[in-house]
This record gives sequence, structure tokens and C-alpha cells, in this order.
Amino acid sequence: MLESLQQLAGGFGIATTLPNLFYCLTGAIVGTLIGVLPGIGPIAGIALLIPATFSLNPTSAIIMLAGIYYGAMYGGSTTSILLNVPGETASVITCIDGYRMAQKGRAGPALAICAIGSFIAGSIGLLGLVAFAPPLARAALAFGPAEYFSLMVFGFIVLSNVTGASLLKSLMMALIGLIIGTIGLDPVKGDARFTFGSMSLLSGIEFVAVAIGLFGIGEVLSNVEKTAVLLDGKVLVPRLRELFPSLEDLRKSIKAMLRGTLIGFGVGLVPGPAPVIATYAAYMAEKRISKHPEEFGQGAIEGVAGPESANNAACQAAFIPLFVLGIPFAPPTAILLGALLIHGVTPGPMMIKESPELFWGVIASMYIGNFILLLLNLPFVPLFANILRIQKRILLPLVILFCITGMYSVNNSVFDIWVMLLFGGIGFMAGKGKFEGAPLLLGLVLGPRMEVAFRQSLMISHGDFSTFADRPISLAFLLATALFLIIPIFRLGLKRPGKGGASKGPAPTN
Amino acid sequence: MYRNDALGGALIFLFGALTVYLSLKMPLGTFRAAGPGLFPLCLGILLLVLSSIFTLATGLRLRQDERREGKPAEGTGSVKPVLGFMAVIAFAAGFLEHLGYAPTASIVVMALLQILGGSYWRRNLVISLAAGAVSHFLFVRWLQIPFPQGVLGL
Repeated sequence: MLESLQQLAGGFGIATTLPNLFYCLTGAIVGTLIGVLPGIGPIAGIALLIPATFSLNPTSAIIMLAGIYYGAMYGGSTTSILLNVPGETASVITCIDGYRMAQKGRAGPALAICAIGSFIAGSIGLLGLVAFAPPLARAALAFGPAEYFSLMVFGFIVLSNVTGASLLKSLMMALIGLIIGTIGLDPVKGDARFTFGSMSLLSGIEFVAVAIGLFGIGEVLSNVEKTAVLLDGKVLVPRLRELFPSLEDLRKSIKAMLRGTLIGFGVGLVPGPAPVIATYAAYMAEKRISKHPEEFGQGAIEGVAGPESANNAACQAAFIPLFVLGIPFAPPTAILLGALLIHGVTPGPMMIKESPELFWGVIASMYIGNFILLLLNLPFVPLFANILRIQKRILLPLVILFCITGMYSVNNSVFDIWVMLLFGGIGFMAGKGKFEGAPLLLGLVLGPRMEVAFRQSLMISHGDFSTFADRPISLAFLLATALFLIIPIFRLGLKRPGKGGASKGPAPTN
Repeated sequence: MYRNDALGGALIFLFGALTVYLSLKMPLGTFRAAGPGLFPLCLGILLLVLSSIFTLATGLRLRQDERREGKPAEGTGSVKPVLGFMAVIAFAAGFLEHLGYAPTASIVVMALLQILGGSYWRRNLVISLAAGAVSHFLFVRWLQIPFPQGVLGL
């Protein structure tokens, strides 16, 4: 722990260099804008800005992209509170009490509590990262291909279980992503697969095109389909002097923030859309613990403080599996994995030893980024809120132009724009049928790694599948996977006939 | 809802079938020394199984629903602007290299603005020209992204 703290101090040294501070600030501000603007979320936002980091060193690049991630999460809360439109799915819960507070003229305290809660969660999350990441990295050194394969299977099943409307739909989307991930050169033997003689397909499907298509173009198309009335909205903009919470607000919120942080950090470590689950779990916990549960839904400040802290803590914890295992458990970290690979950094158990400046620098920058968000965002809330006044009928075409521009600049290839368009159409259609895009994207990013792990395991075991069960860690993941598969079937059996099938009810959507 | 599901399930089934068909054309090898077709074949088969279960279950529910309530209600909203947006993106992909970045950007924004609010064409023209100019200076001049210059050299 002491050694980790020393290295963290070194990380602060790296993160506080002028260029890195600038990239952290840029990432946080751009991320907040992305979160505030409808039609473009953190996934598409990070994907779009990867080309802008090509000229940077890996540490600065990831500092900026990570800043976009948590900045977007913060920005998403602003739209939830002021407009009742969650910028991100993780901010859906914040709408419930945040918007009610805004309607009662208390948008300022709600926004301030969001920022303070996020900062507190970020600070505690930093300690969690320092405490958990190094020992987990040491433990991960015992992982062989079989363990990695089982872990990825576990990740997909958990993600599919908690994402979208049905397990089957999410599993199918994950499989489609894995299949699309096999397009291009065979990672072991180098044979061309599913390329149909096209040179453009030899290097595989560009994951940035899929991300921007599914989450950028698809989202814009869904917005376009809505009627003209829905394209405009009323914004409740607080004045600067209204932003400060009262002592009573802070007293009520502090425990909710701490509880939310713990819940969020725990949830962030397991596969799945951690911020979404964390915010929901934190809200339910607050409602259950509260002496006045009837106030929830009517503008209870704990209903904002808990989920927002959980959201930020989950985002931070999600970096542990990404950096330590090299496996992203959620789409935004999957995009960050892609960015790391583009910059020639392979995350995994050795990353802390091989690239300590990147690992500790990025972690320290997250703390600085949260501080920047706390300092900058409160005074600029009226400005961000005014951005919301831009009509969607003007904003959406500009988002499309940005998507086309960003997509072309990744590889200077028009082919990628076609791929983006194709996946935009798929994302739009999938959204109508409530087929989630997240498992597909994760499948695409993890597919090649999963295939290599699968084939290496079987090569080592001479084609014997029992290798996955013989190794204790692998067996543990497989048993956990089986449990996650059995639970929904068991739940289905408990449901009364005629009450529905695999559907788990409506999922929060933007 | 069930109609969308059934259609989605059927399309995914077809995708799985295509994957299996194309995988079988590649060397499969053995599990000990897997060929390039083996992993996608396994995934394709798994997808076929899951999509079959899903499509059948959804089809049954759809039939029960239709018997109970008549024809299911279709979604609201218009698909026309969606198709328009997709056509404009296709135009950008098709003509970016011929027209150059700045003109394509202006045309794209103008067309999209017209789709969403055709009656404000003067305002739309100003916005689209400004978008083309600003993005040209931002991405081509400042960030120096090598966009195609097209026939006009822009």
C-alpha cells in the first residue's frame, strides 16, 4: 500500500505537468459538453475524439479520453436535472428527484450536490483504486488463456443479464459482435476471413465506426424520428447565486454520498453497465434507508446525492478491470481499451510495472479531473444550460457532420463512413426492437482476444475442453456464469403463466 | 413490439445461418489445432440456436397477442426523415472525395436542416455555409487532418 501511495505521488507529478493538466481540462470540458448535448453520448464521444489524440503520447491521450468519460457522466446529470432528459443512461435515476427539485426552483442545489457527490466519490474511489489495483494485478498474473476465456464468458453473461430488455436479446447481440470481430485476418494463422476479397476488410471492422454508428448515428436517427414537438424542450436555468446548497442539504446528502460511493465502487468492479446499475442500486438503498421514503420522487436531495456519487465511483472502479486484466466490462472502457491498443499500450497485469507512468498518471489525473469539474462546472452551469437552448433541429445535423468528420479522420477512409452508416441503421433498428448495442460493441472489441484465449487453451490442453474446468479460477468463473444463466430461468419459472417471458421490463433509455 | 422482435429474431437467424455457411467454407482444423473457420462456426451455431428459440417464442406470443387484441399498434413517428438522414450520410460517403471536405460539409448540413425544418431555408443556408467554413478551418487548417480536396480544391 505504501509503495502504491508513493507511485501515486509520482502519478500526480505526471498528471500535474502543464500539457497533461491541459488535456485533463480539455477532456473534462469536452466530456461535459458531450454529456450535455443530446444525440451523442460518452461512447460515441470518446470514439470520435480518438483521432484527436493520435499526435499525443499514450498517457496524455488516455488522460484526455478518460476526462471525456467522466466529464460526460457529469454533463449527463445536468440535462437530467434541468430538462428531465438524461444525457446518459446512468443519469436516468437522477431525473426522478433532480428534475422535481428543479421544478421547485432548487436546480442549483441539485447540480451542486451532483458535483460535490461526484468529487467525494472520486476521492474515495481513488483510494479504492490504489488499494485494489496492485494486488489484483499480482493475482491476475496467475491467469492463463483458460482463465481469461472463462472471465470473458462470465463478463458477457453478466452484461447480457443486466443490459436491455431480455437476456436472449443481449446474448444474441454479444454473439453478433463476436462474429463481426472475426472479420479480417485470423489472429493465430493470419488467414483472411469474411473479407470477400476486400482490402478494406482485411484489418477487420473498425470498432470506432461501429461505436459511432450504434451510439452516435443510431441515437440521432431515433431523435429524428420523433415528432417536431419533441425536438424542442423547455430549459430551467438556475442563476449563479442559486447554485449553493444549504447546510441542511449538505447534512442530508453526505451519508447518501458515502453510501453511493461504496455501492458504486463495488458494482464498478463487476462486469456490466456499472454506472446504470450503481445509480439504480444507490437510489433504492437510499429510499429503503430513508425515514421519509415518501419524499423520494418528489425532490429528495438524497435521491440525487446517492446515485450521482455511485455513478462516479462506478466509472472509476471500471478502470480496474480495464487496466489490471486488460478486459473492459462496459462499452466506454471497451472504447478506451481500443484507444490504448491504438497507442501501442496493452493493458493487463504487467501494465503497472511496464507502464507505471501511464497507470498512475491516468489515475492521478482522474482525481484532478474531478476537482476541475467541481471548480469549473458549477460557475458554468448557466452556460451549459444555455447550450441546451439550441434547437435539436439545428444540433442534430451538426452532430452528424461531426460524426462524418470524426469517422473519416480515424483512417482517412470513406469505407469507414459506410460502415458507420450501416451500423447507424442497425443501431436505429435495434433500438426500436430494444436490442441493446452495448453487448455487440463489447463482443467486437473482445472477440479477437476471446478467440485467441479459446484457441490457446485448447492448444495447450491438446483439444481437451476439461481444461476450463480443471483450473480453479476458470472453474469459479464458469460456475458464476452458470449461476447468472440459471437465475433468470429460475425467475421465469416463478412467474405466473401469461405474465410474460424473458422480458425484464423497460430498460432506461436516453 | 413482438412484431419487431420476431422480425429481429428472423434477421439474426439469417445472419447466424450465413456465418455458419461461410465458416464451413474455411478450413476448420481440430479443437487441438483450430483452423480459421472453427471459432466463427461455433459462434454461428450458438447464434442459430439462440435466435431459433427467440424467434419461435416471440412468434407464439405474437400470435396469442393478435388473437387477443387484433392487429398490434405500430410505432409513432415518421421514418421519412430517418431515411433522408441516412441518404445524406450516404451522399457524404459517396461524394466526399469528389467534392472535397468543405463543400460536402455544407451540403450535408443544409440537406439535414432542410429535412428537419424546410421552411427556414435562408437560416439553414447561413448555418450550413458557416458549418462548412468553421469545420474546414478547425479540422483541415488547424488540426491538419488530410481531408480530400475535391474538384474545387477545398
